Amino acid sequence: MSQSRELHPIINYGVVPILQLVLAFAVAGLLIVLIGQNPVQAVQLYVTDVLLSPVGIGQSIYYGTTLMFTGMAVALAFHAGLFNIGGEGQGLVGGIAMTGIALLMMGHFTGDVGLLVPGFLAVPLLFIFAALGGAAWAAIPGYLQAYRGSHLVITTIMFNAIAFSLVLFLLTGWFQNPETPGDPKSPLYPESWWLWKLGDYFQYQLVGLEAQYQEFKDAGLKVKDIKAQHAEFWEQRSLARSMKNSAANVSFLFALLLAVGFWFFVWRTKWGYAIRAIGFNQTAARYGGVNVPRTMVMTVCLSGALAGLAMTNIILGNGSDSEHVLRETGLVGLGFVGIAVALMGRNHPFGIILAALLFGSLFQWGEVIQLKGQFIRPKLDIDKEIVVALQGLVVLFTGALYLMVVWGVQWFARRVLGGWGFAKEEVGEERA
Amino acid sequence: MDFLELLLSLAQSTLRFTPILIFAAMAGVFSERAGIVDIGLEGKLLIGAFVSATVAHYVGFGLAGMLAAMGACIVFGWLHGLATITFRGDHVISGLAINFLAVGLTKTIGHALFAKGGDTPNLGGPDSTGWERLQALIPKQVWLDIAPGLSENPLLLSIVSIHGWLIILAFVTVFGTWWVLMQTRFGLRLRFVGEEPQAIDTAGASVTAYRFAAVTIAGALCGIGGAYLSTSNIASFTPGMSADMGYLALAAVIFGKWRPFQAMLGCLLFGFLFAVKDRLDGASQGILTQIPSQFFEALPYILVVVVLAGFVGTARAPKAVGRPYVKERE
Repeated sequence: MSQSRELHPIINYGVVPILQLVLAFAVAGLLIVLIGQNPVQAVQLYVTDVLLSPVGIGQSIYYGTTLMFTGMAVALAFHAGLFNIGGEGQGLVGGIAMTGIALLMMGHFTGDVGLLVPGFLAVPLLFIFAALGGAAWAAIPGYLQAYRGSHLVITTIMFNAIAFSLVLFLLTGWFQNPETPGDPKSPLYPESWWLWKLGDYFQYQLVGLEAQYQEFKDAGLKVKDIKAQHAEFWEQRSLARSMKNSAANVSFLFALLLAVGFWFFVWRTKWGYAIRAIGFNQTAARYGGVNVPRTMVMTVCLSGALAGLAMTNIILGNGSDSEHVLRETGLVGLGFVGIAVALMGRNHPFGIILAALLFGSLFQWGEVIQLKGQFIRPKLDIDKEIVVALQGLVVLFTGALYLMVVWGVQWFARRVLGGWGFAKEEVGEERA
Repeated sequence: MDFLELLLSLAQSTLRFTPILIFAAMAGVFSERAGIVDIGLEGKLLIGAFVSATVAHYVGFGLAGMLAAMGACIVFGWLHGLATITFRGDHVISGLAINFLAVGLTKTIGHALFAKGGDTPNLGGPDSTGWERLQALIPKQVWLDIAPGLSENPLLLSIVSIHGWLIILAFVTVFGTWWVLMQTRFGLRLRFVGEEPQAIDTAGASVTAYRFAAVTIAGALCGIGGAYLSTSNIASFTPGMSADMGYLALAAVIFGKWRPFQAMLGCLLFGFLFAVKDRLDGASQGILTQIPSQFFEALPYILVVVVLAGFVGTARAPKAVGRPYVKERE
């Protein structure tokens, strides 16, 4: 048979993922119908309040940034054929390490003013500690997998649970904010260490706008007069007011840079080569001179470091001024969503960026449903955990049932399109 | 005396936690022996717990809830089978998908049905006969209706309406698993499917059929485990109540080197650790007040890691576990 079996790359990387997403969304839509709600309304809310709203876009980017870190964490381990589902725990310990050094600098332990170094020194240090914390927490499961054969999936799950206990212990003890004894959280990070966020720009803008608003008021104008006479001003002011807490921040750019670094590391360095080699065939890699256990530990540590870095976005980049603290919720489930992101993005940084933004927007969608669903007419009463179900569906269709979609497309291309859509040269199974 | 009391209460709690682990672990033994990695045990336990509590609430009959839970878990087992056997998907990814689905679906549907933040209504109110719970095989009230004379003999009454037939069933299941796997032709072939699928194929039996049989059994057992969790052990479902028990069960399977009785020992060990955690959590037991309660929270998980790392260094999984079987053509 001269018919090649592989699909054309455009179909394989373009059509297949879209089909998988469509399937996942279709099933989720069915679920919404089954629980007696209107899926059209849910989609409407997604379009108006997430995709077309400045606030929604900002929040999607914020969640997407975290997901880029956690997605890359999972993807890196995937390249070595390893499954790191300990992102949540590694993020928490990254947060612990980072908060530890932060509190030390803030003089929390010694009870004095501390050494409040300026942001440009503190922030890189905090990033480094977050990465180190995550890496350290991943190192033990990584070591056990590489040298003792303990299943990484199980040990990382256990380490998630242990990290949760550890952070609760610290947040009710050494790391406890003395001003809020009943609420387990760390003291507030100093403002000069927060990351520049989109909201800052609008806050800055708002100072001028509010001053002008006051001027209008002093001139004896009513609100409706201002609205009518200075429509542009009014629009600007309401936008600034809604955007002043927008959490999209500078670490989005950092994550983009990191994605480029990820690509370079995996495909252009000898370490990346070793990682992909053990992912492809451990025996062959060993014969090729790769130290398999050591590479495994390195991969899992780097993966943990990426998950730890995700915490910087949650703590330092938070949109709410009072939430620049360490909490036991850690990555709020975004560590797990990273698995779906990595699968959806086919473990490639470019795909991960797109998938992370998509899932970031879905996460925001869940928040919007929870916050706004009660107030729109007719009421949209869906629990926000539907996003977790959707995430499961995406993992199912893009990961587990991947071949179902591919075979379906191949069948369609062969039978209905008469062989159109396959790659030109003969590759893959036929040669084997 | 005090020590004895502590021991007794620990033993009692151990017995309460262990059946969940045992049902899930036996499900794991069946799957893994047939070559299917089943991370989805966790999710299936959760689904089983939810379906059981929900159906028991509506029907008012605990056994109906359990049967429904078994059915639901079998469906999810088939989904796992479809992904891993038919479409050769990654076993861990498929299991994880089921776990996510379980968390999302139970919470979403639970909220839609009861609007109690994902909880199901409490089963077995004060004036119930007790049929909606899975505690006694035949509830006390029913015994009294049949034979009013029993009220004069409280000892006999408490024996016949003993709250724990599912606990007994759990241990019977261990024996049953051993018998099916080790003593029957079905079990022999099932084990071969996990070790040398080609051999079974050559012998003219279908690898696919045996693997689907394995996921079906695993689903049914998870259903019972879930039903025990929400309908017998506690009287309602709360989101996330499986609390990593499915993963612990899988760890017990590895600890037991994929053998039913050894896996049961693992379950008892982990069940005991949970009992210790439960008993000592925030307890004022002399020297133990010095130790933070979070330590006991983490203890079972820490020890699972220690056990996996220390004891199972040389364990050998079934040879074909996690690998799709692709029939040779021509």
